[in-house]
Amino acid sequence: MAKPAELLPGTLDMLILKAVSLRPLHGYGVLLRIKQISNNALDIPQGSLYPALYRLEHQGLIRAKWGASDNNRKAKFYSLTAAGTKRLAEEAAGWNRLADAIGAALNATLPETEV
Amino acid sequence: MRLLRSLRSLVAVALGRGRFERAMSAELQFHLDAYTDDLISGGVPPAEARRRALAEFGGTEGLKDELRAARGQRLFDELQQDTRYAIRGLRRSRALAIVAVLALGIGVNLAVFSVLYTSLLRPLPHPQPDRLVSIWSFNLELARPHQTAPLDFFDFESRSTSLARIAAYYPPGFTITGGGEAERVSGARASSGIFDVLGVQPAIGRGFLPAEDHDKGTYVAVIGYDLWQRRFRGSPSAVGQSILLSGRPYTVVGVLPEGFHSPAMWPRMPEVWVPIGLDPNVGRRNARMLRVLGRLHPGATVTQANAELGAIAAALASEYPDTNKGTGAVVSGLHDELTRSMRPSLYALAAAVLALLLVACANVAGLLIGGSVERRFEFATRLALGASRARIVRQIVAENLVLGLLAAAIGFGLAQWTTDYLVGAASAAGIPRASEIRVGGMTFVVGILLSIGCSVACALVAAYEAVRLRDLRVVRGAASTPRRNCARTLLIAVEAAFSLALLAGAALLVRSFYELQTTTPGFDPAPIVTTRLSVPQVRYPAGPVLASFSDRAVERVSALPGVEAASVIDWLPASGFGASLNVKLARAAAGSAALPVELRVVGLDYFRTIGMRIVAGRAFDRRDVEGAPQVVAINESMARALFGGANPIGQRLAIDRGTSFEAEIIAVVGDVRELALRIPAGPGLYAPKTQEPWLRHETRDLVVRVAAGAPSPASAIQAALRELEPDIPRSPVQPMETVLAGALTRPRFYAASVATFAVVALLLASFGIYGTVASAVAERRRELGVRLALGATGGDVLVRAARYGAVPTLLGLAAGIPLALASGRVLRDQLYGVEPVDWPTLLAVGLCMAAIGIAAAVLPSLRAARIDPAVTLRHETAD
Repeated sequence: MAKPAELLPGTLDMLILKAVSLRPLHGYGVLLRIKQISNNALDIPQGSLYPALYRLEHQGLIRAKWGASDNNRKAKFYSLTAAGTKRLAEEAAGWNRLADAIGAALNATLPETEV
Repeated sequence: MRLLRSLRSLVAVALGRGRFERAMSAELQFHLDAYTDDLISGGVPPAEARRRALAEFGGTEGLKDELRAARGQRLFDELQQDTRYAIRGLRRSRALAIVAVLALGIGVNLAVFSVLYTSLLRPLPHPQPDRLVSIWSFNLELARPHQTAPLDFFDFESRSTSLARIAAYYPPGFTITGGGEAERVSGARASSGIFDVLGVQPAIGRGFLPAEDHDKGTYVAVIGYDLWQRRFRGSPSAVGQSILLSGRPYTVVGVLPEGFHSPAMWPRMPEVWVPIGLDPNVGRRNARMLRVLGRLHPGATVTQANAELGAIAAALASEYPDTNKGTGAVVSGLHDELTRSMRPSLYALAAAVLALLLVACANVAGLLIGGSVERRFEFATRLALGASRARIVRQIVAENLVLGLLAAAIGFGLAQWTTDYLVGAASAAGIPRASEIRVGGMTFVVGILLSIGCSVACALVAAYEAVRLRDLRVVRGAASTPRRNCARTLLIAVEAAFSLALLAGAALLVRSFYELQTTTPGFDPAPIVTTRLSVPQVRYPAGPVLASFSDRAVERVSALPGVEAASVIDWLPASGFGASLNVKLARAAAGSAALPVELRVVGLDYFRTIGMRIVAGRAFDRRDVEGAPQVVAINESMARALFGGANPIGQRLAIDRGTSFEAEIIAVVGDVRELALRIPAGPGLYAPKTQEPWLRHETRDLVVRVAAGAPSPASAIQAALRELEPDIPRSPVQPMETVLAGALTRPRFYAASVATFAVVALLLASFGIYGTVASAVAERRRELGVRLALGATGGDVLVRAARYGAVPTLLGLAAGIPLALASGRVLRDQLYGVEPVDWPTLLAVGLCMAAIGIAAAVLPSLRAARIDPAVTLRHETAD
């Protein structure tokens, strides 16, 4: 199996927003969801997940609510706010533009004369 | 808009910080648990799963910091501040602990010192106290001092040149009647030199004149200040007035100054002094009754006086062989003599508190070392930057000196606070001069010296540890685990060793006390009550008049409801007083050794009243009167000593009492501890008060046997006695058990004191062990964390941490065994029914201490086992 890719700076927030946009998730759930939706290609450092969650909550992009987990334990569930939905759309658009641009750049071939 | 949202979040955080913290912890915990569960269901063993979860998570404390930061910088700042305060608070609490421990140690030492100083060291309250001497006649054959006969005393006085002044007295009690309620006071018949010897002059009036030493008709009295206030309301015209002493009028000629007190006066300070010339025995050389005190000439020594008096006594022995053959004289320093008997026990007490102080100091040194390890970064940095070691040492000593002086002040207060209790306990225990005990200037000076000594010593130990850390690795923060710490090991060992010695000593004393308490005097004291027939001596002189009074008293009291029997005796059993006598078998060869025996003169029915067994023969009865054949009873010890297994009944004894006479043994009675509860019964002789030469003997202790279940007849007894003689002073009717309990006060005092010190030492030692292990755990958090991360179980870590305290404790206990044995030897004289070396006791005490020490080591180690390796590995414990 391929080694999970390193996360690019600035992408964690976006991935979290994406993960919780589908349905409210607790922190661990966010982690699992990102793995799942990226087909295990992305590995989030556990230590950086929560600072990101708290930062997003602090910025009002997600909101937290206590609820029951699958095995009926008390857990904190995060869901997207209106501001978060808007931000996710912006980030996704920005990311896609960037990814296209980088992809195009990497696929370009050099003129032979310069070899 | 965004700003507003952030602000709201911040406010929410600020208002509900506790909630935020709890929520954060819960959330992280949930994550860890969920991940661990997933790992386990994925086939990872639980312990490994947990470890991996923690490791991947990377330390919750640091994470929490980040989360707090994510939530707003202000909160983060606040928490940081809190942490700083907590560290400062920790240092403050360390200082507090040092002061408390030292104050306790110093306070206890000062309290005991004040007792020791007053009773043993403080000069007698007389002018030139070192010139005061005590003089005893001396039985050269038995090598035993005894009181001096009046004529011998007058010869000492006229012949001695080394003594500037010499005086004798005899301590009778007086009953004062007329002008108010009758009262019993202590008194002295004293020779004219007494006030010169004691160095006091009457505040009003005069002392005694030399002529009054021999004058049988001058009834004069000198009274004490308190009595003057009580009976004459302090009126100066008291001098010249008359006072009724034991029914006879005396003219008051002098009043002693306020507060005059002499610990030399035996058995207690007299309130009334009358001339010795009034004593009917003053012209006798065979009445050994006087206590003699002297004052040396300037330049004369005790040794010279001793030689001189010895020579005078030898001359008297050849001049008056009938009475003085074999009688010498000894002189010793008065202070030395008064303190001699108490010295071993008080020094033992002092040793006990010094041991306690040592434990306290070891404790303080341990605390200080803990402190300098915490500050090692500061010290190491300063050393690296060029500070001299002396500078660092000076700083630590100075800091600790401040704490030490604070502790001395508190300790002094502590000692002062316990003064009343001390005086009470010490006087009950019969410690000389107990009423003079003050926690005063001298105690304060000693307190300051002790505190300086202790704090400097402790600080030097700690400073040595601090400057040892001159190591750049410390500055870089790399050497976060201190090297093995020998000093602390040693300190714990010292604490354990001395605590063990104290506990062992206390255990011996407590066991002795219970042995003594459960010792019976040879009869059952429960149904017995007793009181003293203190009738005025003049109207009831010893002899037929007193005898008939005591007969009537016995008769009246016996007839009271609830009283089974009543009788009289000259000295109550186990009262500490008594008389002895030399006897021989009548048929023994001349020149054979006499047997010294305890003599008690008893009334009819005494044996039945007190409950003594009659082993053989018959009790005294109405046949045994004056003129009838002389009879005596002996106890079993005496029967064994004189007759072995043969029947003593009907045998005759030769008794030497001024004149020699023979008496027939009519009874053997059970052994009773007549002299004192702690002294096993020796040979004892009982004589009837109804026959010569006992007729003139004073039998004033009334003994009453109360019927089972009957109410206490105390007030009925007092009423009956008052009916017989209205002038009888109110003396209490005491249960015999109370009288016997009097013998327990001193052992109780020592047992209670040493036990208290031992418990305090034990607490201090456990505290020291606990503290050392706790700081070892804190300092080695990283090491222990690494071990946990590498797979050590909580149990492994717990054992490793507990060893920091448990091993030195056990070493100390081993080293304490010789100390404990020594403490038993020191206490030898205080022990009763227990050997000084008592292995079962020592073993029990040692096991108990080991258990407590190990518990004190395990308690803080539990924290080590709970260490979160992820936290400690991420965050080195830097302060």
